[in-house]
Amino acid sequence: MVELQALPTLKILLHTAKYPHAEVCGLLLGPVNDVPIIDDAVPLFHHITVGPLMETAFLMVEQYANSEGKRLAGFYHAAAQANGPETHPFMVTLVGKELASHRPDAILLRVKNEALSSRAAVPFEVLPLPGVEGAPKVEPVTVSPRGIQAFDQVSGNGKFAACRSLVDMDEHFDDARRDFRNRHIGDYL
Amino acid sequence: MEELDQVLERGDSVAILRYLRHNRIRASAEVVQHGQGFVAKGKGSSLGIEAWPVYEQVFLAALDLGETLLAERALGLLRKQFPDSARVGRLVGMQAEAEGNYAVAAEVYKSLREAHPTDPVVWKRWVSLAKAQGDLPEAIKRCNEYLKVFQNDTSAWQELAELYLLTGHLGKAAFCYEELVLSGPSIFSHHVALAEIYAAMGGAESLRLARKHYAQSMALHQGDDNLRSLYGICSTCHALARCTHKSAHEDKSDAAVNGALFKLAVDKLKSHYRRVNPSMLPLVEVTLLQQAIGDASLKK
Repeated sequence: MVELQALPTLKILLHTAKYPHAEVCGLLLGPVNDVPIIDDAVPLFHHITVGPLMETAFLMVEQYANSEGKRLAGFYHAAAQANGPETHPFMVTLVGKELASHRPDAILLRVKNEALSSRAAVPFEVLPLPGVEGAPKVEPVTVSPRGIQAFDQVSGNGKFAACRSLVDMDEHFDDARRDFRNRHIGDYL
Repeated sequence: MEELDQVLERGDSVAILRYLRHNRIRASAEVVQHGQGFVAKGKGSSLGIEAWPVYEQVFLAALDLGETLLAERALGLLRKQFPDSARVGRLVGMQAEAEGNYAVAAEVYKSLREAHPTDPVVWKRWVSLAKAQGDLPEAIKRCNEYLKVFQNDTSAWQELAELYLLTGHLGKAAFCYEELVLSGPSIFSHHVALAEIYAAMGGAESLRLARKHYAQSMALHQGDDNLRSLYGICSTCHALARCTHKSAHEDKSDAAVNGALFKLAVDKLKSHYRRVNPSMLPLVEVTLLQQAIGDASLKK
């Protein structure tokens, strides 16, 4: 059972909402002692990214995790299309390989676009990393309701400032002043 | 070009919509917020001829947000004014796509293509339709057909490159960017994109091509927004050093170039962060250390 806490829940939802037309992805962080808790997330890209920038982003987030006493726990991904096919896009396979070389027990958290508009279902699911031998099986995930409530509060009714304030690695590479650590998001909780 | 935030802060709806339109920014929530009033007023609005691009802009944003009534109203105003237009016709197709009626959209685009066989906008919707339906190979096929006719369409080459990347065809994506570099050799961002693809392909030959194009992009553009090249150089030089280290034909002069370029990029990165975001400098330095080429002087 994987526990997705409020802060990463909020960051993932804000990232997905900021780029609703694009494929978005990011890394998940958890405590060093390997318990199945996700307690932070770093949004990475909203364009398909291959090669050096993906590698650099990984290294940077890994260093950031080390400096916070955390570990790289997984990868989140939201497909571009709301009702797209279930197959793993190329990016997920690429990242899966990269992540598996750093952390073989990492999880893939898929954002379920189809469940985002209603609140009836949990809009996330944990999948095994694609193409990785011995990857962990599909596990159930509990999502913090506080994270979802905070998202609804700061971005409902046409309010968009919170989404716009979230910074991903893509934006950081465009403008180094924008900080992908997103320390300010904690204020919304 | 002002920062988007500053423009939004001023609250001038017409200026905001104009800024978003001219810079092709897809900020649909803002567009609906600032544009829906004009659509509601319709002919009574104060926009003059700017009304038509604004209605189109609000229509597209409304589709993004699922605001079907607003979209319908905006579209109605446009259809009344421009009954035979291909540009408006394609909006009808997009409305069908947004509702998931791909068969209807296909019919709309088919008759538009018959009525306007040389209109690129209609043709591009035809490509996008395949993409929307999740049929990437078909989208690639259509995009290639389009490019046979409209060979100089930069954004189409970029779209095709992206489609190839999405389907894992790095070599073909590289070909698209080679075309772009050929037709626009002074555009630094094309060199960066091409370099990224070659770097992702891996292997000494591709890595050297990547390094060449990153270096060219740096020669063309030294500005603050070419961080991708600097990071790309670090990663590519590191990968090259690793893969030629064990090769039988280790080229000493190339290794020297490699090391020099790496050091240049590292120094530029450090001074950039020192200037614009010093709080992140330690993190960047530690990251770059991971990619250091076995030169003791770099590990400071």
